[in-house]
Amino acid sequence: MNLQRVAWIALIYFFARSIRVAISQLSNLWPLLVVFFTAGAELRGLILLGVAIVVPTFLLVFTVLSWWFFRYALNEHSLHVREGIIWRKQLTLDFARIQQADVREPWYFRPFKLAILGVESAGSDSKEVQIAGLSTPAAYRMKEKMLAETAIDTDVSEGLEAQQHTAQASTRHIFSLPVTEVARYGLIYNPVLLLLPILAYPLGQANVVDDYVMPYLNPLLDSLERFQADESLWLTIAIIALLSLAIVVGLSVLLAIIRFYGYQLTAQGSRYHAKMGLISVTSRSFQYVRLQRVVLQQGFIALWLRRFSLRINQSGQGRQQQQTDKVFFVPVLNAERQQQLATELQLETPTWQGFHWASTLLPWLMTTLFITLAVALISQFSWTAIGYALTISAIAGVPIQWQMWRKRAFFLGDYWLATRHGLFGQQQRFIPSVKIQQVTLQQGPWLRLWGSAKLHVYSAAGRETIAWLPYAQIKTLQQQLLQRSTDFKGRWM
Amino acid sequence: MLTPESSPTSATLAVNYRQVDRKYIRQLRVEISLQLVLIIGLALFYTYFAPVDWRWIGISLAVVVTLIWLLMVLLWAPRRYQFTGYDARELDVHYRTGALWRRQVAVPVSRIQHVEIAQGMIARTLGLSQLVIYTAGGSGSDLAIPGLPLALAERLRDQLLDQVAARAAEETEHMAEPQA
Repeated sequence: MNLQRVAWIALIYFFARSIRVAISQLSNLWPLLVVFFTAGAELRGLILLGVAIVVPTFLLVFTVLSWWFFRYALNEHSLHVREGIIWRKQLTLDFARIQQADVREPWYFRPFKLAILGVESAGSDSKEVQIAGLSTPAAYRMKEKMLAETAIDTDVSEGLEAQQHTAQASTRHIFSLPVTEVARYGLIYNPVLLLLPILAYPLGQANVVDDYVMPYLNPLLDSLERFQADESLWLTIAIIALLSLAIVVGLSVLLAIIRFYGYQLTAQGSRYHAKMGLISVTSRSFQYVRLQRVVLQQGFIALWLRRFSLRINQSGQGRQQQQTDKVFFVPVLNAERQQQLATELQLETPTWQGFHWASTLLPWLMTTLFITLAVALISQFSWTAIGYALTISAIAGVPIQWQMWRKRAFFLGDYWLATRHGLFGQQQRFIPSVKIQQVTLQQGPWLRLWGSAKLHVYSAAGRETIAWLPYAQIKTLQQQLLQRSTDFKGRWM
Repeated sequence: MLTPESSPTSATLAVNYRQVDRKYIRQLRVEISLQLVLIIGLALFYTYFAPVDWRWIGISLAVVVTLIWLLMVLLWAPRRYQFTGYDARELDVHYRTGALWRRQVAVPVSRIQHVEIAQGMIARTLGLSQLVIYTAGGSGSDLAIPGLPLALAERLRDQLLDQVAARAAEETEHMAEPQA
């Protein structure tokens, strides 16, 4: 085996990693701070001196050593990695088991034409490895090699993608996202904008402002008033608020552009690639045969802008959804591109089927009671407040539940099982019905009373729920799904 | 259609649930008793030390939990046993349970990742064990069949593993064919 070391520039990467490791390790040692503060001045000086010298030295040595001991080898069919200074870790990844291989070009590597190759294996014991400091072309070549291996026998089994493997080797361009589209992502997923109403609500409800903020604010306001008249003060505050909102939105748009600039989606046979980024370039890919779930998402603002975003989950990724940077992600899709991608992925156009209206009763009752109880606690059991809360939440709950009920639906096509839910926007999830792992039918007393049942469908990317259909229909659905999964003899992962 | 050889092999046939061992009732009773007796004990402990004005809380809690305990031991455990059943077939495994909240689980044999036998302390003294079937769908998608005598669980496990291997062989064959 021909073990190789990565370029010495990669020391930057290893240094950053050492710092991360050091911080996570040292955070366990914070109780020692007590020793530091209780120690005498002399000892304290000694400790400080020690820390100032020992920590950087240790970091540097650790960095160099971990770079030195990091070796990798690429064979015909597997990737071999050995790392660790004292505890040697050896890792062999068969190309056939690799479910994802991504190339990242971080900004600090780009001047040196270096890149990071991240590899993730499939299955229940999925492993992950990052090789930093490969030359960019080499990284892309390695990625190609790994994915080419996995692609060999996969396409054949899936009858649906018959038309795709004629174009096995040639790269097809599917679409690029212009900057204007990418900027919209900044508007759509604006964490601060989403937080504002949530933060404003309890502040407006409870007497937090009056009880806690005002006593501090009043003297301040008084002193301000000496300089300015009342109205101009409020005008200033309003302008400052608007300005800071504009800055936040602007920042979020800027971040979106930095992250997704030049988003390009291409395909090679049934392998899909996305490349994006302004400062650090990221590339991500997945193989159609390994697809476990497609999630189409449209939030509140996306609804106004008439855009969707799309996520593709592979096996095991349902449990780690928060790590969005590992999922194949298309940030913004207008109707045209969505159609294009749906054709690519062979998503069927769903004819949605809704559920029984009684599904709204319990959620409505629970939210009403919950809000009333919360208000009761906050208002310290003032009957008027409870009365208002009960009436308002009961009445307001009706259209909300009705809207959510309208959005809840499912669809079983020839290949896909789809579910939909949402309030203002919506989320649609598609899972290949032949790849289902388990189906559970559930019926509690309440559902039994209505002659209904609930179905939990587990794909390798997570759980979908179909509830509030007549028992007989749910039973048939369970049998149908089971039959499909059993009959499917192709590769599913 | 996706699958040309789609035949009424597996799922369309009615599932023939087999009951688990009768001793499973005893296992349920002991398990539930251990949990509830602890709560009753705590409630009585509280009653003993609490001021007289507050004793009613401890006493009523103990009474309510004792009633629940009686209900579960006398009614729930046999009923749950009655509804607990499994059927390991050639292409899929079925399991159902639940006295009030009924559950019917189905796993295709071709999706089984591995099979395990687990034995809790109470189950072990009764000679019972639990067959756990893992799939790639995450923790919620694992299927556990309780109340099986150890020998039966072992036989079922071996049988399932054989079926999984047979299915895997069939699949590779199936995938090799169109390539040639």
